Amino acid sequence: MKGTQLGEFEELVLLTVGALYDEAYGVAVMDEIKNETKRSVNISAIHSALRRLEEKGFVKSRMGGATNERGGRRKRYFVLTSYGKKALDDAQSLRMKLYNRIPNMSFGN
Amino acid sequence: MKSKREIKPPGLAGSFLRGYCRPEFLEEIEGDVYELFEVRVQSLGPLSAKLLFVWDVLRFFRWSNIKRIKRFNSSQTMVKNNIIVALRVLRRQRMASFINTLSLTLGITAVTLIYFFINEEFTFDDFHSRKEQIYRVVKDIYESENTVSYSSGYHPLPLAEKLAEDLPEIVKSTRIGQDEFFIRLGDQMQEESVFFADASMLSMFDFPLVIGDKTTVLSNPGSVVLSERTAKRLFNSTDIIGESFEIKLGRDVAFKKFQVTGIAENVPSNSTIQFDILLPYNQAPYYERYKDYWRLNTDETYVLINSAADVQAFESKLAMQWTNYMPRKVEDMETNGFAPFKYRLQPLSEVHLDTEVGGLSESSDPTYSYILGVIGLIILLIGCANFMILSIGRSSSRAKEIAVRKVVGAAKKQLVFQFWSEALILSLVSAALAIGLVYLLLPTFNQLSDKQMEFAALVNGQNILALTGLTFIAGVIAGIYPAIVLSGLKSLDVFRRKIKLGGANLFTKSLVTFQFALSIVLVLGTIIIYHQVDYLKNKDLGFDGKDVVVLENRLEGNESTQQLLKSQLEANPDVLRFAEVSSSFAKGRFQSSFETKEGREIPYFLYRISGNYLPLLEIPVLEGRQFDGKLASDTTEAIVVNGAFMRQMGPDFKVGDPVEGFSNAGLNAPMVIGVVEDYHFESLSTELRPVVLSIKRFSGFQHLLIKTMPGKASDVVSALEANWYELAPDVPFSYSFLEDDMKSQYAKEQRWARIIQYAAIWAVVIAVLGLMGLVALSVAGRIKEFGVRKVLGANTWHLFRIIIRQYALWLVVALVIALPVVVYIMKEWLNDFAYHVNISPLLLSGGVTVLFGLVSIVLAINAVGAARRSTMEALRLE
Repeated sequence: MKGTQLGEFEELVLLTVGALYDEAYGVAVMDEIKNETKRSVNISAIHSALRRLEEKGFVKSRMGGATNERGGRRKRYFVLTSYGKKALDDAQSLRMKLYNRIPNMSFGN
Repeated sequence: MKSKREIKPPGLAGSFLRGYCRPEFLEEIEGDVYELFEVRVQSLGPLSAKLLFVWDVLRFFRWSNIKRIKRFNSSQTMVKNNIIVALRVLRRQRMASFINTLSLTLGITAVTLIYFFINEEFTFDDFHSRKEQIYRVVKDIYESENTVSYSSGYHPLPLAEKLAEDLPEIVKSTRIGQDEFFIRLGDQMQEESVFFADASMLSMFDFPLVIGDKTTVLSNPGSVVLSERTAKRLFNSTDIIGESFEIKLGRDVAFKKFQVTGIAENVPSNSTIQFDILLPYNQAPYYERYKDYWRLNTDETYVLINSAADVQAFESKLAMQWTNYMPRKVEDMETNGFAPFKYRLQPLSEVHLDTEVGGLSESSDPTYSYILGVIGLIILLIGCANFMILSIGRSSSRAKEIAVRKVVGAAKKQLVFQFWSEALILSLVSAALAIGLVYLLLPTFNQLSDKQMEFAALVNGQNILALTGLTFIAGVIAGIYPAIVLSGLKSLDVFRRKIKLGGANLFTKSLVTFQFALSIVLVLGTIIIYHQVDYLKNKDLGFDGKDVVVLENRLEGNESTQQLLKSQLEANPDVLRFAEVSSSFAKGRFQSSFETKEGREIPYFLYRISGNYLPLLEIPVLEGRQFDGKLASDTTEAIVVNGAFMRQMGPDFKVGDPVEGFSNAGLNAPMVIGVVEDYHFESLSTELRPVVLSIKRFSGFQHLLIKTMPGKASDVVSALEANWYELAPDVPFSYSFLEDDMKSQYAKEQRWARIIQYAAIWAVVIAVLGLMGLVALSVAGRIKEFGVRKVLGANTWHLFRIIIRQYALWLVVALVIALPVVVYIMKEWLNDFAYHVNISPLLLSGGVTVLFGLVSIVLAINAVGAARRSTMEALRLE
């Protein structure tokens, strides 16, 4: 399991990157998270999370082309790596495994 | 649209981002915050967008985004290199570094010690949490309506309580008294200082108790509070609550038992009130007799004022408060037309440094603190001057280094920084050494300055800060000249050898002159102070105190024992004669005054003596005759006076005349039967004052004077002690020698003489060190010249003359500057003494000769060194 450790927020960002596919850059990820979770997140937190994910090898990035938007500054686009996809799968299957073991009777009170 | 375009994110935040952000992340971060900004301008409006932009930028300011300092950074490398070079320089030029470090160390040590002294002097009683509210009640005694003749802190016993009762502003008040008494514990008996205070004292002041409750420890009459150190000294433990020992409170009372009820923390050395044994005030020996008596001024009164009270208004109310208590004085006031005295409040913080008000604890004159402070600064400046002199002296060898640095591209700022950092490194090293030296010297310094400072207690934030500041200042002063001048050299001039640095230029010479002027002032000042102290101690006082034992006459009231002791004295072949006196010199005296029939007030000191007194002290009679014990009239209505008394009475007054208006000690208008020479019965700092001697029996004698055969004084004392304890085993025996008593009056002057002497030695050592370094450097720069001279036939003496020629003029200038300064200052000091020496030119020239001799030795050593050096090598030197 070493190296595939994912924090809750990291997992959320990683999922978003996967969902946005080729359109995942800082602001887009932030907006998506905001829309989906109604959570207000600061852009700097997104950047940090993306950078950590890249260091762990879950995503890779490239610089986009210059446009007239953003004062001419380029975007850094992130895409999910297969390793990242596997990490998400692992997390998902772990979750499902545990989820399926919940007996219906355990809803106490 | 156009207007929207113009809305830009706040520039300052943008620059901040660009300033801190790692370049590899900058573009994406900047892009994102910019994009967000543009969106927000549309949705939220410009103001919110701007604020959020700033917020985002600030949020991006986190460790992972912040620029890393590059491995290779020119300014950092420069600093590192500077330190390396500084250390190399220190190592290579051993002698100069040694001299520099030593002089700065000595300078910082001196200043630190002196700072401790001054700091303690000026923070006396600072530790009391309610120091702002605590005041000492002071009485100003007026001699006319507007002139205060003196001030006193002593008051009648009932005052403290009465004031607290009558004046609502006073929250608490306490009386504080102190005296020496004998204590007895087992078979041990010794004299100790005992304090008396009201129970409120412990809660007014901050004297924490280790064991015991502040409010109750003094409430029982038989209780005693000991300081921790006294408890350890007496009982070897502080766990002694309930233990008891005996105190003999007064000469003619028996030992009384006291039980320890509390242990107090040791009183800090910067406290005016210094108690080790504390008794309830009502245990004072005079308490029962005088507790409601308004005419005995004996103890101090402190009050705690309500913090809300208007102190000024209160003080004006207090001034004449005594009129409610002392009706007799009110009558005096009505006849005289002015108030004989007024009360005022003295803040606790001013008590220690006030020498005007007479009080219990010894106050100290702040002038000495100022003098010491100046001396400390002088020593530090001399030390810093050494650094400057030597840096300049070495500058020729460093000029090339500087020029190369400049060529390589060092800015002037960096060179300034380099030299200052060299000086700072050195002063840091010196400070570290100085701390060690301070630790070693503190006990000696305590002894010299009569303080009890402890090193551990001195290590606190304030002092560390002060020392750091001092180190920094010393470094800055020491480095100022090299930093500014050397950094300003022009590289081209240096390479072309246009600039001739090193050796001695005008600035160095003025520094040397300045150092020597200061040293001369200190050395000559020391000589004059010693001359004066010597004079004080050895002046012919007009009586012979040699081989005179002063015995405390504690047998008073026990006539038969006294008689037995006296007969034993008479039987002792080593005793020449003995006499009784109301009080011996420097051990109390009785001052009074009378009014002549012309209405002049004549103050005098009254000594009641026994008939042998004048012959015993060999006080010569100038006119008339001595007392004759066989003449009945001599023992009732006759006095002998001194010359000062006759001068006060005026030329018409003759021996044999009665002194009209004189009424004291059972004498009424007594006849003057003789005039003795003016003998010095008090310290020579005061003018001789009139003395009246009487042999009329009135009340007891405090002292017994015993003149022994020459050199037999100590034999007599041991015989006497044995006799004493046979006769009165309960009564402590104590004695002193008259000569010591007289000298003890000058203890303060002697202490200061020694402090200044050490300071002078300190200063001279540093100055000579500096000179040594400078001469050595300048000789080193002239090796070739000396080689040529030697080839041409110069010998050591010639070289010495050449070297001394360089400095002779400046030493003379130093002397010319220093002499008037020292003469002026020392005249001022000497004028404080009624009897003083004149400044002796012979002694001064002696001092100057010694100092210049020292300088010559330093120069001669260098000349010899230069002469011994191989001529061949000197010539080969390029």
